[in-house]
Order: sequence, then structure tokens, then C-alpha cells
Amino acid sequence: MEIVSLQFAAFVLLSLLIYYLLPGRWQNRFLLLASYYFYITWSWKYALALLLVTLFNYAFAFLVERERERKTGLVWIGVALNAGGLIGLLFADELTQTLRIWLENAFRGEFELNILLPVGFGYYIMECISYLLDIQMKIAKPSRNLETFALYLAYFPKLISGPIERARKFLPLLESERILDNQLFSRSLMLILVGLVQNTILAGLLSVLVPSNTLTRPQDFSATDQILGLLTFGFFLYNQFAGYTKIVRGISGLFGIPLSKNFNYPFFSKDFSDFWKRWHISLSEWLRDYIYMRLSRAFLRRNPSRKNLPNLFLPPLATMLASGLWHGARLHLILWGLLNGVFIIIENVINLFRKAVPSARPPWWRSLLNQGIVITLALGAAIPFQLSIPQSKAFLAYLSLNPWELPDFRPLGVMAASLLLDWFAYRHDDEFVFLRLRRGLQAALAALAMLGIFIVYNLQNAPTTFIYP
Amino acid sequence: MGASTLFLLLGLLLEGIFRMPWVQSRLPFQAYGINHIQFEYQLMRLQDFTRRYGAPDCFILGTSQSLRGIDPEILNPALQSSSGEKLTCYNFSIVGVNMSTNLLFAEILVQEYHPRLFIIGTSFLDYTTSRENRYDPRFEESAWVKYKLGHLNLQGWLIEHSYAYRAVLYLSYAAPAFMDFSEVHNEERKWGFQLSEYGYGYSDHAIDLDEPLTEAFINNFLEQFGDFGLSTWNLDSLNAIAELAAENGITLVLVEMPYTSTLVELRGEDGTAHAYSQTLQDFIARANARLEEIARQYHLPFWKAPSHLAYPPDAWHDLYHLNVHGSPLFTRWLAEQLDEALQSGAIELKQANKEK
Amino acid sequence: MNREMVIAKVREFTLKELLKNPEYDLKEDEPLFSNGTIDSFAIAQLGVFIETEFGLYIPDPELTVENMDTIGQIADRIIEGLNGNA
Repeated sequence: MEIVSLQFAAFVLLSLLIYYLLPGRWQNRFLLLASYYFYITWSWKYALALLLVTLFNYAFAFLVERERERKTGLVWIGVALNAGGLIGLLFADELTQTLRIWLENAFRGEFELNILLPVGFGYYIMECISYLLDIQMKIAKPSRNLETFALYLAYFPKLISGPIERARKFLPLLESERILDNQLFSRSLMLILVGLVQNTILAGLLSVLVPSNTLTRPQDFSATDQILGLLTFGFFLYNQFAGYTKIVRGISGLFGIPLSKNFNYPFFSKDFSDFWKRWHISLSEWLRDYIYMRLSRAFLRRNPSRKNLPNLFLPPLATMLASGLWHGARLHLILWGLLNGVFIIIENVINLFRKAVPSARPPWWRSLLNQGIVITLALGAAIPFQLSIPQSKAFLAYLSLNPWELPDFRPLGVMAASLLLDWFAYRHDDEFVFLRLRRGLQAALAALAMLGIFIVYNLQNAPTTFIYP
Repeated sequence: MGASTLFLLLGLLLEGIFRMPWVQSRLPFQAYGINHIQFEYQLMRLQDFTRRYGAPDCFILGTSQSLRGIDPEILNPALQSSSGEKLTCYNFSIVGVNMSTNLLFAEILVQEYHPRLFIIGTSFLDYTTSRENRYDPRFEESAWVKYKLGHLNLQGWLIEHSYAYRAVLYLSYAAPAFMDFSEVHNEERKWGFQLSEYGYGYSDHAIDLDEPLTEAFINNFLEQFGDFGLSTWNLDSLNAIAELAAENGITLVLVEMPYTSTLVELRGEDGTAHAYSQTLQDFIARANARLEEIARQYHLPFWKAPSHLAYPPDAWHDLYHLNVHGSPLFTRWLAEQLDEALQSGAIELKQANKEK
Repeated sequence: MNREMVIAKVREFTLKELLKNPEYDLKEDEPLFSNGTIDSFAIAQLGVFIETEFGLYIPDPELTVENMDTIGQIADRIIEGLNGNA
């Protein structure tokens, strides 16, 4: 069941109805059932994988608690098993796909070869690893309640694509009574609507306005189209993912369970480190907490100077390489991670020579320039994120060969609308700024948004023309 | 809640706007969400026709061959003058479709118009393997078709009843071509011009029949037949249409649409018939034999395309489509056949539906 | 160790090592990281400083900009840790 579908909307409405009719102590049990039902609509094998991961980590947490004083390093076995499961499945997925294509080419038949990475697996494995490590660091206690712990991992709004939540914050939420007050209710509805505007209208329009193969078939386009394709990819990815997260946060809010923010206007970042605090935040923070800081502190303990060279280079590289690997076991994703690591290293080195000026705000043109640089570099790195390495090379080669021409202004208009929407909230430093508008205006905007969503949803599902002589 | 009310009001406002005759007259056609523009024009023309002349009581079904070959504006008066039986035919042939899709149309037309007569214009070309392979499931899967066939669904309901929703769908047709309307516009211009009030497909393009066929054309054409097996699936659909007609007391007539001898001989550039010509003729004979069998089974007339008609040299749109210079001759012949069959009692029409 | 002493030590470290501006008059509730004065990766340095100076290990997930943005907040977290309420 896809998240942005009528089917899912019906599922959520029905679940909400049952959920609020049930007494409090039954609510979690129902959510757990609903979540597993939701996951089974993807595949029962996925649900089985989730169940195994849940049982293992639930039990292992107690071992970690018992052994943590003895410093046996037992926790690392748990971490390794979780991480190994993820990495193994990432590679197995990749390998079986390659093997299948090879077999199909060699024997000219269709082959069923399925070791698939379950949807959402990468997300809940991260949650498990942080759970075990937090227990080791004594900032979390093992959950006694298997039902709550299982719900923490399986909770359907965040199951497929995050946000990655931490057990020490999320378990208490699940154990407390749900209060859906007017504020949470209106905020949730607003999140769903703005999320749909981003996910359906903005990302949807971009996907219909710009040919999807400007990146993969650069030989058929102009250099302008290539750049436009790249920009579109960036804005599409952002609006789709950020919109998606808003929708699931809104849905979760309706169940009285707030989820973390995952995007914080990344196109207004002042530098690269800032960008990673604004893009896919729950993943960045996870990587920061469990990889970057751990490494950085280890290096600094030996030499606490800011000019500690290994500390300048290795933690950012390791963190971004891990991020690349998390996105998939492919060489081009590793390259993408490497590029981003290098950007951060360069920034760290520059910062060494920059004098810290308390409370100084750079002039507007400097901020704008910085934002431009960050967007350009991020999009440059996005080439090997989206394309394989040979494809990336071809893309760059054609970029210098292809002619330049006047761009199609319609997608640029959509991107401007996306920036404007973000800027409005960014300027007021309030994600819920729309709720501060006058009631009439709110209603009118919401109605227009619904109409737009309705129309663009249809545009996206449009059939192609039958043409006969 | 205020937003939802406003949304509804906006929707109603849009609906009101799109129902204004001024706006309607500026829309080229009503979109039914399939993006087969000739079909969608055809539906709109049929509705216009019904408003102006009342519901037709006879439909011509088939593909581009019957669309271009049978002109109701000639058929209707010819029928009336000789037999006295007043029949109003409308040509609902849809280009490129399979017989199975025609079955869907027949079902919808039966429910909506209670016709007395179906004329199916068909030929061996409808039963080749490539026709089967070119089957597009979009008609069958269309929300509107489902709705019309009695499967209630919101989208189908909206398409049937909302002018604004059809306008949104019309807008959506440009989306796959990146909001570039050129393809849609071309089709739109073509059918807007070619489809007559009676659903007939006008064309005055004419080919020179003495021109030999190119190797590429012949190869391409032969490819349609695959291993020269008959498409039983399409024959079965024809059976099902006959069944449907019988159940509803509708008279059904099968008529073979004409094609040129140049096509059958596959005369190439060297002036001689192609080696495959005999195989092709065998295929035609087999297809016609099956059609005759079906006709016998359901007691229908099956009229083969006459070979004696003296078509003028510019009668052909291409090797198997008549044009506006050729279709009158064929249509008049068809009228004579119908006339004869009615007078001799070979076919009988049910009483005209008086309620209409 | 009382709060003033902790604050004094943290202030000294911050001015010398992080801000590199020993003359600056840093207020107890002045944000350090959230407004970009110091880049947030330096927070690892702060963690190591607390380890060596106070013998207190603050786990990485708690060593965040939200928890450690002003020297007042930092001092409170240190005292809380030293008192064993972590």
C-alpha cells in the first residue's frame, strides 16, 4: 500500500475510527496490528523480517544491560548483527539483481531470484542499533513491554521511510496517554495538506514538466536541459521526501503521536554542515550521534587540538561513506558519500582559519551566495547519487558538448513556488506559520490546495495518446 | 471544515463554469480519461446527434475500415426510400480496436440506446495475431467504461456527470508529452475535421492503385499475420456480440469490408505477385469461413465484400480503407442488401421502441 | 564544586579554545552553536574537555546543540552529571 494513495487514506480513516473507539490500553495493541497489516500488504516476508529483528533486539537489550558494567563489549555483537543484516541484505539485493540480469541475458528467459531488501529495513535497523547503544551508554533502559517495543519499530506512519526515531524518546511517548488537542489536530491537518502540496503538486508537476531521462540520456538533450534536469531532480527529491515526511507526521499526529521533523528548509543552508542539519535530519543526527561524534571524540582524546589532522579528515569521511552505503551497496553511492565528506572536510579546514565572531550576521548577499554554493555543490554531488559512475561521466561529458539554449521556464516557476513556500515558513521561523493567517485566508488557501492536489493527481496519472493512421 | 466547504463550493463553481455553453463551445471535445481522441469525439458526436435527431436505432460497429467505408448519411435515406422501414444508423466504429473492445461498446450502446440493429463491418484484418498483440487494456480498465457497465466507482461517476472533471482530464492528456499539447492537438484537429455528424470518418486522401508495393510495406504488412494463425480471442468476442444481440432481440448483420486486389496479390516492384500471396489468400478464406460459421450458428447474414462494384480510381484512402469517393458506392450496395433482406424476411427488426 | 566554578572553567575553555577570543565578554545565556558562532562539530571538543576536566562522560546523543548551547546549560549538565543524576 503506497502512502500517497486513496487506499491508504481509507486505511488511515478506518484505523483512526477504531483507534478512538478503543479504550486507552487497547490502542497500542491495535496500532501494532494495523502496522503489521500495513506491512503485510507490501509482503508477508517483510513482516516476518521485522518480527525477527524485533524479537532479537528486544531480548538482546536485556543482555546488554546485564553485561554493560563488565565492559565485555557484548553490545558490539548486537550492533554487528544488526548492521551485518542490513549490509548483507543490501549486497544480496544488489547481487541477486545483477545475477538475475546476467542469467536472463545468458539463457534468454525470465528468472525469479528474490533476496529483496525489505522496504523500510534500513530505517528500523538504525533504530535498533541506537537502542542497543543507548542502553550501553545508560541513557536508555530496555523496554519491558514487548508490545510497545514492537510498535516502536513497526509503527506504520514511519515504517517505510522514517523519520528514524530514538527509543528513549519514542517509547515514553507510546507509553503515555494520547492527547489529541485542538492544536495538535490543526497542526496535523496542516502538515498533511502542506505535505500533499509538496509531494503531489510541486513534485508531481516537476515530474510531468521535465523529461525523466534528461539525466540518463544526456545525448538527446541540450546542456540547458541537462542542468534543468539536475535542478528538477533536486527539487523533486526534496519536495517528494519532505512532503512525504510531512504527510506521515500529520497522520501520526492524528493518532496523538508526534514524529520528528526530517527537513528544515535545506535550500536555505549557509554551509554544508548546516545542509546536513536540514536535510533528512533524523538520519543525519543518527550518523552524527553514533559515528561522527564517537570517532571525533576518540581522536580528540589523543590530541585535543582543533588542528588535530585525523579528526579533521576521518570522522566526516567515515560518516558520509556510511551514509552512502546506507543508501545502497553501489559504487556511485560511495562516491557520492566521498564527495560530501570532502565538502565537509574543506569546510572544517576553512573554519580553522575563520575567526569566530559572536552574534555576527553576514550581509544578505553573503547568505545568498553561500546558499547558492551549497545548492550547487549538493546538486553536483547528486549526479553520482542518481546515476551510475559511467552514466555520471557521460552526463558530464555531454554537458560540455551539448549546445545551450533558452530553458523551459515552467519548471523554473514550480521551483520558485517551492522556494517561496519554504521561505515563508523559514522567514517566520515557524513551520506552522499558515495557522497564524486569518481564518478566511486559511480556509481559502486550503481549499485551493485541495483543488490543486486533485487536478495534479489526475495530471500525473494521465494516459498517453492512442495514435492511429 | 471551512476549507472543505470552500473546496466543495469551488468545485461547484468550476462545474458551473464548465457547464456554460460559452465555455463548452470552446472545448474541442469531452475527455473520458482514455485519451483515444477519436473515441472521445465519437461519444460527443453521438450525444450531439441524439440531442438533435433523437437516439439512433442502429449502430455500425467496427474499426477504421467501417468508419471510413460506411456513411450513414447515404445509408439511412437509401434504406428508407426503398423499404419504407425507417432506420437511423450511427457509425460508432473506433479505429484500432479489437473485437473484444467492440463488445464493450456494444454492451454500453445496448443499455443506453436500445438499438434495433447492429451492423458489424469486419474483415480478415481483425483476426490477425498483431491485432491481438496491439490490444490496449485501457478501454476495459477505464473507470468510465466500468461505470457504464454497472460497476459503481467515484471516478467513473465523475466522468459521466461532471463537466469540470472531464475538463481536468482533458488537461491531463497533455501531461505525458510534458505539457506539450502538440500530439493531442494534432489528433484533435484531425478528428474534429474528419468525423461527421453521423460518426462517419471523412477522408479524401487517395492512393494510386497502379503503384507497386514497396518491399518494406510488404514485409511490414506480412508481419501482422505472425504465423498466419487466426485470433480465436477476437472471433470469440464476435460470438459474444452475437449472443448479446440475440439476448436483447437486436438484429445483427455482418458485412465484410472491402480491400483492394493489390493488397491480396502483394504485387511488388517487379510487377508480379508475392510468394506469400497464396498464403494470405488462404488466411482470408479461413477467416471468412469462420465468420460464415458464426453467421450460420446465430442465423445472421454475412455479406462478403462485393467484387463487382466499379470503384472510381480515386476511391481508396489506402489499400484497405475506402475514402469519401469510394464509400458511397459501398454504402449504397450495403443499403440494397439490407433492403432485400428485410423485404424477403431474411432478417426481421423488432418493433421500434415507442417510448423514445 | 559549585556552579560559579564550573561556569568559570567552561567559559575559559570556550573563549580560549572555541572562540579564540579570550577578551570577549561571554554571557551565561548567550547561544554558541545554534546561531552559528561556533560550528557545531566543535561540540566534540567540548565533550572531551568535560571528560578530562571534570572526569564526566556525556554520551554522544546527549551532547547536542539543544542541550549544550550556552555556558549556563553546559554547566548545569555537568553538575547534574557529577551529582549522578544522569
